[in-house]
Parts: sequence; structure tokens; C-alpha cells
Amino acid sequence: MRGSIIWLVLGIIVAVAIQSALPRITVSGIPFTPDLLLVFLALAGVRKGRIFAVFTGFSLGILQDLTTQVNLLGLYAFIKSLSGYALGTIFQYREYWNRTVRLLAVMVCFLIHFGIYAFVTLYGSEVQIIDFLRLIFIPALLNWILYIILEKLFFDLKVG
Amino acid sequence: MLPFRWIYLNRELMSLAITAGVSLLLFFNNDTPEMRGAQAIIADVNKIISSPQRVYFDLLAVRRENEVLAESVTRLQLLNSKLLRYQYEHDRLRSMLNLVEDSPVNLLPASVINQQLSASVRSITINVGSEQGVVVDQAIMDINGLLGKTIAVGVGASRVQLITDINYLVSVRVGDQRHLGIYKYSDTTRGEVENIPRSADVEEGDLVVTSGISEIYPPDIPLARVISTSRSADSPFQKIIVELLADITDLNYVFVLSQ
Repeated sequence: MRGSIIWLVLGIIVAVAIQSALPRITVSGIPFTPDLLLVFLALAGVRKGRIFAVFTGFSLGILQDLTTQVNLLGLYAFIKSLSGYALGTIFQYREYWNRTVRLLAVMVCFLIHFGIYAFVTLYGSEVQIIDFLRLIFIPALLNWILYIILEKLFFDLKVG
Repeated sequence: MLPFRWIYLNRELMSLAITAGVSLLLFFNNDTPEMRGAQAIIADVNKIISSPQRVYFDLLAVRRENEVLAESVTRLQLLNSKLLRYQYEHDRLRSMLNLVEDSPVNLLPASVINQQLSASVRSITINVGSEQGVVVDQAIMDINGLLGKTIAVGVGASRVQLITDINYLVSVRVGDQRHLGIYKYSDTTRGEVENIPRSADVEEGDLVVTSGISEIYPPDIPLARVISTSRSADSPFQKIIVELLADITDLNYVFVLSQ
């Protein structure tokens, strides 16, 4: 347990340090910053289970909230706690789900994460199909690809 | 079943309920003075943590910025001589009309401590605070235009709410006839100017500037440029889409405005 907490704290520090130094890239005219904290949460969640993922998600979310939000303070903490719970579910089913299903489940969690954020921020305004692509699908897809690369790099495909 | 046993058996759901509950509590109480105070403290801590990284980035940026600034200074010197002539004419005409002199705007330079912890940036932290005379509700701009306002001020750092925040509204003037409207952010680097009558003569390329009605923003701070206008039969107002002048995607140095 103590080892897990040390890894969690170290992981958060490294993720935050890299995230704050990441450049903003533009994909087909759409500005995009990888959400390394979400990717870190996914990597931790599918290996450590729900409780660990929920508290990790909450810690990362509150950190994001306190540094980047004003009127929506608490939103990232809420979404990342929820995403942590969903990602931790993948750990529960690691014996039954093959790698493809687990990766698809991670993608669904990412879609939920960006979907809730987009819903709250766009609530009450005119929304077009392109907004769904720009705010939900493309960030989820790009972060998912990053997740697969990092998973391959650090864990050599041995999920769970 | 004993409550403790029930809690233990459902500890995963309980964890989620606790964290979600705390998150929602923050979400629905984020405008309280206590939360603003907490944000100011976080801004100070943030400044200390990110200072080594800031020094590194500053060193990387200095050479390139020096080249840009040298070019800019030359251009501005040429422009300055022209403006001095206009200033002389302007002062003479004002004195003839007996107009009161506007109060000048002071600029306090600051650097952005962090902004990349989230894909959608709605606030930043800058490295000046109450020590430098910064107070809450001071306008912030970069070299291009208005960026936002201070919302929480620590000793050596401050939190800035950006104009990309969905709840951010600014009273503005647009067009040659300086029609009064309200700027509201829409997405990426765009916003909308509302409440401009259908009959108003607003064209693509017109500058949107602060109106000066609010006590926070001095008048005539450039904010955006009109990129499209449209009128519909069922609305007394036209729809004006504007492009922000401030470079939200690459913030390094900003200025705190004080009158």
C-alpha cells in the first residue's frame, strides 16, 4: 500500500511536470494539448483498480481545476473521479476481457471524460457536429493513441 | 447488516461518492471568498514550484525574442515620429475644445507561470501579486489585446481569468460609430459580440475595443476583430463573430493594466 502511494505521488509529479512543459499542437487546424494526467490515470487505473483510480483521478482533477479553472472549479475533479471509477472497472474484468476489449473500454472512458466536459462547457449554446469531433472524439482518440504508445513503452502490452 | 460492514463491502462506490461529492461541492461553491483565497495561495505555491522550469524556458526564449524585439523597436521608432506629430495636433485640438485629459494607463509586465495543465485553458497564473501592487479585478493584456482580469491575488503571484472563460463578459464598442455591445467567448479563439442592433454599420475587419463603462477595463483596449456579421429577420440584433487578438494559445508575457 505504501509503495502504491509513493508511486502514485511520483507519477503525479512526473505527469504534472511533463504536462506543464508540453507544447500545444494543432491537428487539422484544431488546437490540441495531450491530457497526460488522464493518460496517467488510465495507466494507473487499469492496473490498480477502482479505489486507487478514483482517488488518483480526484487528486489529478483537483490539481487541474486549481490551475486552469475559475468558474468550473471542481469539474475536472468530478470527471476524473468518475473516469477513474470506470477505468478501475477494467481492472476488475482483466481476467475476462482480452486486450482489444480493454483498449476499447479505455477509449469509451476517454469519450465519457471529454463528453461530460464538453456537455458542461457547451450547455446552453448552439452545438454543431464539428464541435463533437473537435471537443470529444479527436481529443479522446489522440489521448487514446498516446495511451497505447505509453502502455507499450512501459508495460509491454501486459495490461493488468 | 452492520453499517460499517456495508460501507466496507461497497468501499469502491463509497470512494466514488465521497470524491464526487467533494467535487460537486467545490463546483457549486467556487465563487466564495474562501475559494478565491485558496486559489491565491495555490498561485503562490505554483510560482515557487515552476520557477526552475520558468528560468529554463526564459533562457530558451530570450534570443528569439531579442531578434523580434529589435525589429519591432526599429519599426516602432519610425511609427513614433509620425505619432508624435499626431499627438501634437491632437493636444492642440483638445485644448481648443477644453477637453479633460484621459488618465494614462500603467503597464506592469508579468510572465505566465503555467497554463498547460489542461487542454482548455480558462485561467493562468502570473508571477506578480500584491507585493507588486496588483489587486483583484485588474485588466490583463498581451502585446496584441485584452486577455482577462485578475481574480485572486497572492503575495507574489495572481490567478487570471481569461476571456476564453464561458462566463466572461466584457462591455465593448465596435465599428466606426462605436456601437455598444457585449463580448462573449464562443470557442477556440473566437467570440461573439451581442446586442448590436441590426441597423448598425459593422463590417468585417472592424476592431472591437473595451467600452470603458466597466471600472475594471480602461477604454479602448483592443480585444478582437470582426470576422463575420449576419442578420436574421426574426432578431433585432445582428450576429457578430469576432477573432480574439490576444494569442491565447501561446502565452508567455503579459501586462497588468492600472489606471
